[in-house]
Amino acid sequence: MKRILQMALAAGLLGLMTTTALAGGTLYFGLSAEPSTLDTIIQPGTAGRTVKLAMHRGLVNYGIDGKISPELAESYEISPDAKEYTFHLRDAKFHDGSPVTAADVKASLERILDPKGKGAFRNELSIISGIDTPDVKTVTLKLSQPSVSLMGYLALPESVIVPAAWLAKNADNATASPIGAGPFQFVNWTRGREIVVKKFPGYYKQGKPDLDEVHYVFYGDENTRVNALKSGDVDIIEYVPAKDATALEKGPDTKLLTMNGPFMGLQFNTKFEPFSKPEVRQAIAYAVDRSVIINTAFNGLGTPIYGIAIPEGYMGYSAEKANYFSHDIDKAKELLKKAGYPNGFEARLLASSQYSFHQNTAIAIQSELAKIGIKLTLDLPDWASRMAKANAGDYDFAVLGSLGEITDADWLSNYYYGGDKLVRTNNSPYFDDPQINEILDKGRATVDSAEREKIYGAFVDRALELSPLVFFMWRHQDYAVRTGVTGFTNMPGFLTFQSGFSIENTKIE
Amino acid sequence: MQTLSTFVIVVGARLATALVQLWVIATLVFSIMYIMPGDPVLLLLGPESHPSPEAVAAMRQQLGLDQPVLSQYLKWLGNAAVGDLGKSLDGYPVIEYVTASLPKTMELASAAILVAAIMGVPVGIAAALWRGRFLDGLLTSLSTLGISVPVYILGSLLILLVSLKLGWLPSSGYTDISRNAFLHFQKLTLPAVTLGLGLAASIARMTRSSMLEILSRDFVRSLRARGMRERRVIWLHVLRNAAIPIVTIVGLQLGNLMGGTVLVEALFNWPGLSTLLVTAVSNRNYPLVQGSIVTIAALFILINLCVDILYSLLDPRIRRKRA
Amino acid sequence: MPGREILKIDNLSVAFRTEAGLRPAVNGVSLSLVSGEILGLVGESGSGKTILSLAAMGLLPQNAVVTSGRVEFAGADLLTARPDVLRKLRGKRISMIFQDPMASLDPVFRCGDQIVEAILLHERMTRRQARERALELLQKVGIADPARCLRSYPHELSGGQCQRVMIAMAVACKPDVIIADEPTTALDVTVQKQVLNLLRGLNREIGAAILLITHDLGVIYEVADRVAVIYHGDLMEEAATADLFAAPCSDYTKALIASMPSASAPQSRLPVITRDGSGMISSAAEDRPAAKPKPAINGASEPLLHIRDLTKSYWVRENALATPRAFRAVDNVSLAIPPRSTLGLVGESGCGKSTLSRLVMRLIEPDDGAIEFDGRNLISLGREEMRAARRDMALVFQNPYGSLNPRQTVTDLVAAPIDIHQGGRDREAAVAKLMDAVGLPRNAMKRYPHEFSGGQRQRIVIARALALKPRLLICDEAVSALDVSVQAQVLNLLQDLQDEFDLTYLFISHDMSVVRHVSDMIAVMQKGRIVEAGPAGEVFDNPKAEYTRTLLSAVPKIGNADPIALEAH
Repeated sequence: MKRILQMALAAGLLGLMTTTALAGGTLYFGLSAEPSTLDTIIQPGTAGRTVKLAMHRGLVNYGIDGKISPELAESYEISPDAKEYTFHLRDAKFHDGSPVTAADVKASLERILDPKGKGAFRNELSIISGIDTPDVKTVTLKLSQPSVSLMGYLALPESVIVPAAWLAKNADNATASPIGAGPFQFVNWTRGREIVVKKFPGYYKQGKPDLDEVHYVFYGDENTRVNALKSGDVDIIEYVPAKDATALEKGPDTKLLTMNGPFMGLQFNTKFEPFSKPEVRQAIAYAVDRSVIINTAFNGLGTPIYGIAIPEGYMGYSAEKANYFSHDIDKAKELLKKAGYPNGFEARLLASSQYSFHQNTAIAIQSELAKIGIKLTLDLPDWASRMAKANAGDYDFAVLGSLGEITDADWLSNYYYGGDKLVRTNNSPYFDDPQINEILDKGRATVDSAEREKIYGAFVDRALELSPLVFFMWRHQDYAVRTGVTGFTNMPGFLTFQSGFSIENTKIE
Repeated sequence: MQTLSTFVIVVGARLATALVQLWVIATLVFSIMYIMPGDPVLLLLGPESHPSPEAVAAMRQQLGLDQPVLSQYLKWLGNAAVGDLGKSLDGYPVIEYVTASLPKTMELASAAILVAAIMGVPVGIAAALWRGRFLDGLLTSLSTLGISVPVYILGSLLILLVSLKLGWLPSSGYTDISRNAFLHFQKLTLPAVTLGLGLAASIARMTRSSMLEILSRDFVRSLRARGMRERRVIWLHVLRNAAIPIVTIVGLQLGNLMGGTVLVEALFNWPGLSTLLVTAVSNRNYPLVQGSIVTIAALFILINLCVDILYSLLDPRIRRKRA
Repeated sequence: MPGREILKIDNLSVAFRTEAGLRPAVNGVSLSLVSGEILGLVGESGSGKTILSLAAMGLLPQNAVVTSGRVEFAGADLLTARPDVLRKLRGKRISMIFQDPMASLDPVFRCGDQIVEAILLHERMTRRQARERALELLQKVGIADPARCLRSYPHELSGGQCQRVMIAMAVACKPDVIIADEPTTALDVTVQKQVLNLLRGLNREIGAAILLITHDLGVIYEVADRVAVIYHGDLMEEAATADLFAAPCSDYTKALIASMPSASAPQSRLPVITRDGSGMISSAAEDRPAAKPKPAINGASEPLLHIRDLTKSYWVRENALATPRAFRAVDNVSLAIPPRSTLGLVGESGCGKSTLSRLVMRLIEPDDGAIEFDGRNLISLGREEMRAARRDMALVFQNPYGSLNPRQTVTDLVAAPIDIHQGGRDREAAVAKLMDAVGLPRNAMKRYPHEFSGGQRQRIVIARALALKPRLLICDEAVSALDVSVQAQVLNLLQDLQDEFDLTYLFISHDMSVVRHVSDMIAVMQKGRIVEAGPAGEVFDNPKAEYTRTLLSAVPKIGNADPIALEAH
């Protein structure tokens, strides 16, 4: 009997020891979902990007200060006409030990550019008309048109560089283990549970990373995720729900890393009758009281937007134009009358029941617009159905919760440009204004920043006038960490979703 | 020998019926999935990206989703008949997913049933033996409470109390038993108790009514008339007779739990089959949905079959009828 | 054996706790049981005889309480003895045998295990020795294959075998007293004879005193040394058997004996037990309107029901791999029932009489043969025609509790056939008339079955059967579940109805004396075949078939009792 007690005691102690994470070595990161894929050229959502940015690096990436930081390319030059980009690669190795060469860069980029391929940003990068590799450490990109924004797209997690040899073998093998040049290398992926990465000793930044191992654990349920952080099962979580933000900030064992990143607004199907008229869209921008949305859907956390959702400090931002709209019901009614709808009209608003803040935003908008006579029925399918409808343009208007992919002003193209594909995820279907198209094309190609400012200023005027998209608020995109975790940065503005990059700086006590 | 051959034939017949049932279920699921709106390809290419039509078409072709529905169905059916559940749309074999997550759900379900039986049966026996007295009323009321409290709320309360306030147990997650057996069982405790409490309540009620029914039977009086100790009458004879319906109920509940652990799995981040299924449905991952549901159905049928066999082993009167 | 008082029940009163206070079940009964004797305790259902015995053993149900008295056994008062003392006595010094043998054994344990368990409760020996003893006991009680019986489960044995097992357990420890509560009521008459013989034999061999509780006076006459009669919780009379039957003292005993069918001339009205206002019990022959002259049973007249070579087989397999055998439930049966007469069909359980009754109405389809009802062959009828034909036939079942839907009022129950066949026309009036016919008060129409006693329920069933004015009434063990006095009432009723409505009866029963009393013709059935048929008197007085003789000899009779002499009292 005594023996049994002794053994039980020993087992208990052993268990206790292993419960606490090995200090300084392993970090547990609570992701909000399981990535759909680790294929680098696909945009899998924030969870997937977080993991990608642990394992991969591109020619350049966005750094924690929000600026472009040279990664695999230790330096680069842009030709004065912005049609030629030359990159000089540093000495860096992939996880399999092979050196990063120009051939790898070429292969990776070509894969993205493949018209039949799955590259999420193929369109944006398609201005690359040629890739030269004069020597093993130099890559020159030739563009079909001038573009100063290209760097931003090359800094995306989807533009990271992978070995050409690996691509040759595994391009269509969805289950191959990823190889990259980032601070951590892939260990395994237990479906339904976690992805484990471990320190890559050959990382080109000396002394980094600090952590030995990172476990990216999937926590689909937001409450479970928060509890896991509170109880110490994980050290960092992403997508902190608004209702828990204050509590996690207060701690005592936790800290909140907060950032205003994404915006919430509306995208309009411009083929649907009332929404083809800019007056109607503007009326909506006047009619909705932003604070109702902030309180209903975000627990009072958020900042209202009364203009175009350009963050302060970004190109195109102007303090005066930031308050173009205001909460003015009479003005809204007047605009509706002018448009020919004095008694309002009926419409369907698409959102999703899968994310409560989406659903609550829709509900808030419904109650607000009722005040000017616009009667809404809400369409709240699950996310997959919502995506399907969005891609088919099967809605009257829809709640839009997103942000710019890059910090360069050209992020606006995704949202406002017409082009040959008029129904996209983030634009207003069938919106095609030649003036805006022209402005955006010019802005992309203008090298002089003062010139650019003027161009984008004109863009903002036109965009406000037509208001194909209406923006309501900035929402918080929070991470939370346990005290003792340092070095993890919630990257500024639009880059919040790429905060996974900072895992290379993260330390845990 | 006679009993054995009957047994084999009966089991064989049940298995044959099971195959038909599975086929019907698989066909139903197939139809429903295809009627549902939502495109898995769009989701695979990145829920926030804007794939080109060519990319979408290429992926669709790669996954075989551009084939007519009927041929997709027949192909899947043909493979499933030989045990190949196909590949999930992200490239991994469905069977891998299933074999990874199924044992976890089974473990959770079994632990929950164990908890439920350990809590419920003694409570039911006590309530039956002290019928009409205060203890019976108390226990029956507790049972009603146990059945009524929603699982999610119960689980959240337990996490709040046991894990966050008292810090006795981890709040969520899963650790391999080979990595850290102690932690593994720590993490199993709260979800098992959450699921088990509700079940315990119904097991307690079932036990109570079964015991009361047996206690009113003639043979109990005969046993007492022979001078048997009351203890022996209850624990050997009455319980043995009362066990028959209880075992049936417990078995059926285990079968139900196969697909019914979703809320608890989500709350405790327990990577089981239910979670897999829900995620697969959200992502319109057809092969994974089909494979998971067919697996759950097969398990349910198998468990029911085992319950029936167990029932006939426990009750000799049933054995006779079969022959 | 020297008579030494072994069990003394002294002024015992037992009552039931009900919402309305204490309801007395046994009132100050005093009995003594002398060692080596068989004491019969006679009473009808509800008389308190079972409660009395349970009280003596300390096995009263929860809601019963002893209000006074003592039960002395081996020098101790059993009512105040400590539980563990009482427990040690039970099974060892006093054992008990109950009515339904199969229900008295634990269904999930083998018989052998249960006997061994019973032995090991009181005797110290190894399991193996106990098993040896069990085999011996089974042999002693007359089980043909003791080893097989040990291995069997209760449901695999017949009722008689189960009762023998119970008896084996009861005598295993050579008790001083055996209390047998209706030990043979659920058994066939031939089996009953064997079991009674067994009990008698054991009594002589072991010297145990037996308290035999029963409602069957015939059994008492054959087996008991002394008799005590109990009625409504009161002890009416106690005497030696011969004395009691030759010259009963109490009115109740006299009335009870007189109500037995065997005590009356066949087809005469049975006297029933009545209790008048002052509590005086008497046996009264109910007067009824003068019976219509009964037409002579004329062999030449066309029989109302004529069954020819009726056969019904079931396919039975020993096990899944054996070839199925045909089991003939009804084997080439031919019967003829003249109109306005009663054919008594008698046989033991499993002989096929119930199957036959259902075949006649084509509730089960026969395999072969013809059923001619009033000249028409029922077999050739289509569904609709058969449905119409069934109006002329009605079936009265045994179990008055099971054949009435507890959720329907009497009106609905009795009017059901009218609803089905006549669309419910004039149902209230029809039901009222039927109530009168069966002797139930009119206010019974609105009540529910549970408010009536067994006998009254059987009247409701009969009323229902008569709703469509049938010509043939098939009574399948219609009075078997009833007490003697109630049975007498129902038999009288059936007789009156036959006179009033010109009914023909096919009366099926296992009770020979009842059959003798009601029948004009008798057919004896064994294993699906009719082994003998003929006028009642002839079959009874001069049985030709071997089986008939066996049956008749097995019936417990009040031997010397002269029916005419009894009636004179």
